[in-house]
Parts: sequence; C-alpha cells; structure tokens
Amino acid sequence: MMFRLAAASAGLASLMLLASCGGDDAETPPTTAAAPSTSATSPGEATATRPATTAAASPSGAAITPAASAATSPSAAASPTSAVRKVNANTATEAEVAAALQAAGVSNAARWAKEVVEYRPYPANDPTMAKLRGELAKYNPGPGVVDAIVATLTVAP
Amino acid sequence: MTAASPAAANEGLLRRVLLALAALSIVVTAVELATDRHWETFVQRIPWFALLVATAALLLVAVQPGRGSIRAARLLAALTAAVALIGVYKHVEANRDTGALDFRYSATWDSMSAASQWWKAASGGVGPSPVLAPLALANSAALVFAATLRHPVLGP
Repeated sequence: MMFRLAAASAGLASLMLLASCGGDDAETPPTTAAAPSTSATSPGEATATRPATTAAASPSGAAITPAASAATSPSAAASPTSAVRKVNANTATEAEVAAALQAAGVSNAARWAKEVVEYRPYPANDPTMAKLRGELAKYNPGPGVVDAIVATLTVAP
Repeated sequence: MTAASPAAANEGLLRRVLLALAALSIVVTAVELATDRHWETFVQRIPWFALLVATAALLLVAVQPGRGSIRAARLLAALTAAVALIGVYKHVEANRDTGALDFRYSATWDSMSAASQWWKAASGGVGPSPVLAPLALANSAALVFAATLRHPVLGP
C-alpha cells in the first residue's frame, strides 16, 4: 500500500515538473515599426477601432504634465505635433492613466492602465521605469507600445 | 519492548520519505514564488499563506502525530489543495484579462468568442501566468495527505 502511495506521489511530482516546465512558444513581437500583426484574425472577426489620437480632456486633480511629443508613440507618425500628457505613475488614478494612454494613442488603454496601477510603486530614482518596462513586457506587447506607455508617465515627485 | 516488524519499518521509512518530499516541494515552491516576486497584490500573496498552511500540516504529521493532529493535517492539506485549484483558475483568468495586450491579438481579442479566449488563456496561448504552476501547492498537500494514510496512530 505504502509503496503504491509513494509511487503515485512521485508520479504526480514528475507530472507537475513537466507541466510547469512547458516551453513558452509565444511569438516575439516584430522589431520593425509595423502596426501590430493581425494574422491571428479569423475571417469573421472584427478589427478593433484604433483609439483616437487627439488629447482627451484631463481629469480634474490629475498630476498631469505636458511634455514634448514622443517619437516613440505609435501615433507619433500620424500626428507628430500632438503633445503627450504625462501623469504620475505612482499617484494618478487608473482612470487618469487610462486617459493619458488613450490620448497618446495606445490601444487597449484601460487594460494597460490597470497593469500600470497594479505594479506600483515605482522607484522615484528610476526615470527609465525599468520595473514597469519589465512588468509590461511580460504581456507580449507590440513594438513601441511599452515606450509609448512609459512616455506618458513620470515618477518625479 | 517488541521490535517493529519489517513491514512497519518500511511504512515508517516511506512515510518519512513522503514528508521529506513534501518539505522539499514546499521549499522549492517558495523559492519559485520569491524569484517571481509573487507578492505584488493581495491575490499574489495567497499562495504564501497556503504554503504556511501546508507547512503546518506537515509539522502536525511529522512532530508527535496524534489522531487529532492527523485529522487536522488532512484538513489543512485539503485546504491547500483547494487554494491550488483556485490558483489555476486565477492564472487562467489573469491570462484572459490581459489577452488583448498581446500584440498578436490586440485588434481581435474582444471580438473572439469567450470559448476561444478561455482556451487561449488556459492553454498557454496568451498571457504571462503559468497555468499549472499553482498545482505545486497541491503536490505538497497530496504528499502530506499520503503520509497520513494508514498512520499507526489512527489504529487498524
């Protein structure tokens, strides 16, 4: 009885190891500045509307700082003169972050804002926001998306 | 004083091996959680509490086991296993919630069927959360539970 129990336990442990060590077959984003791939689209699937590139009204009380247009923004090529509004990554509300991201032309702004808020706080002495970049990269974003997000944020007190 | 029978000695040895494997599984899981910085949110801290529960169950069996402590250990092991199953669901859910952030699906995720989204999230097609990793907790719990089966203190 005990031998069978031990064998079953060892087998379960082996299965666990195999399952948890499964290879990550996720594709890596293309390195070109092309628009995100839509190759996964099935014939019947609709294409999501790209967020407006015009600046949204800034929420009241937001720690928003106008900044120069970010060359890293996906929409920068379309509207090079548009200003990127920066919000504080540590203190802005999720809605404020989402509004700033949407104004910068980042797709799925609300979902990205949720992730930005989730991984707070960000070190004030890291203007490159390496921590945030590392967290966002896990989601396999398209080229330039993380740069565009970071361009809308600041950690300065 | 009577010497233990060979069968009883073997059972004792195997029981200690199961407990040692459970301890190893708990330690390795803790290291894995630590390297993944699995403490950013409240939900991410739940497996740490589950590890404490599993450790308590392990100690109940390993240190002066009695009828009450064996039953308590089984209950704690079952609780740990339940947390593990919830963890699997939470990982799948997290993958599904962030599917639209993947550049391959950013334009199409919301128009995909719910079944397609759940399948992608559960099969590793999208999202950063390892779906089956929480079952490491269930493994620890199963080892502790196995070490309580036919325990001498429970009688024939």
